[in-house]
Amino acid sequence: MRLFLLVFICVLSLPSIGQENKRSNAISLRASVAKTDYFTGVEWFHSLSNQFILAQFDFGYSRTILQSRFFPRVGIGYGINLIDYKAFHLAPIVTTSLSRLSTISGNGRPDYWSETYAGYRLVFGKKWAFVQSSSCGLFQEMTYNTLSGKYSGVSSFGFFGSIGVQYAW
Amino acid sequence: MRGSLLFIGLILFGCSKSNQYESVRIYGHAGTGLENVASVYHDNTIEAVDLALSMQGCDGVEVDVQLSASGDLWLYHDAKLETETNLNGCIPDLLDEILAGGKYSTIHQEKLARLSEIDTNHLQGKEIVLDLRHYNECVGEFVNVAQIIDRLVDIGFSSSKGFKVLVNISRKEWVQPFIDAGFHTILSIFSMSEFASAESVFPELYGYIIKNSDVTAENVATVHQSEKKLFIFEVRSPKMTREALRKSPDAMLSDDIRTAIIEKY
Repeated sequence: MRLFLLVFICVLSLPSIGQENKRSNAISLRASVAKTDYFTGVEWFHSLSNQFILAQFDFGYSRTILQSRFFPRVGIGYGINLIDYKAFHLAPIVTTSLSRLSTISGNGRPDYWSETYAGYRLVFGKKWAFVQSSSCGLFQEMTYNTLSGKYSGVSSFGFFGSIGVQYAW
Repeated sequence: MRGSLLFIGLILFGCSKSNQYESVRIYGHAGTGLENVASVYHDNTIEAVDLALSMQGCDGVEVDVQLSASGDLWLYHDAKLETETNLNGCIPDLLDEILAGGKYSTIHQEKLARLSEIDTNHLQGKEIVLDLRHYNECVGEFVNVAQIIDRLVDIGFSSSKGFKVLVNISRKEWVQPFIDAGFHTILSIFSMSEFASAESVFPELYGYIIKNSDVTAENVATVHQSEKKLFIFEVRSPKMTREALRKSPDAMLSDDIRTAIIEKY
């Protein structure tokens, strides 16, 4: 744990390699695959020196489109520009998200998933760019247990991968 | 703008489902689904069975059952243990002491479970389908049917205790012993021509189980005319689930239980 913190602080204090990218905001449209569904949505990027934050909103394609059951997923993220050279940017990221699905319409209790992942975000391009990110980590499912009459959670391993197109300004 | 409103409207109105499939019961195949990537637990584990039974809209589960060399009944799908667990060999060749140390090679390392470990309180008002494996692939021999029947009786999976037990048989020689022992017996069939021949030989069968792709709505109606139940398996995607529901079987063994519940409700 100490070693991890030390490495984390060192990486945070280092200026990223290159420092070519001066754009502070970007928005991307993306298609993603996760344990629970295929997702599509948007990601907002805001740069803070050599670090950045992310805000994400997606919806599950199979549930929302094929099954007419709205399946939203909202998330936030944080990253450090490790390599930021000309049109190539690579950053380790951590993200956390929450998604919600009602399997039974009307009075049914929804299921929830929280995902806390670590991974990378790769950007190739400047004003218009190609974005790819992958992450994995803790996946927690919270379902309403009809036997006990309360929600119960189960932790597992999860993953998230996405590709998209980004516009920066 | 008008197009966007129409799209939003379609999504919202699309959310309301009719209860036209109310008679179709939803069972979790091997718990919450066989080879279901979204499932947090391995198939045929107590955890997966409990999770499925606790879900709103789930009417029961199907599990794969194998007889050990000690005479107890264990939940496991494949023929050989090395494909999914830390053990080697086939369940019919192994003693309970060895099987008790069996764990799945998954993140939760769920333990290999006995049928008797399923909490029958969780089954109240529901149904359980026992897919009984009749063949020992390691030695190429059939399993002793009398031993299976005796053990099912011993552990209380024969008579009604607030839940219904259905035994799924794929070996025809096993059908009559189970019927004689008073079990609700379902025969696995691969085509509707098998249905006709089985009906003449085993008129006391409770029902039949068939792959979704091998049956039509007309076939289901034919089975119902004979006052038999029909169960459908190999149902996973939303499209397959809708197709299966439209056929109006008595129950559907779903490999993605959430997909099935959404389509039904």
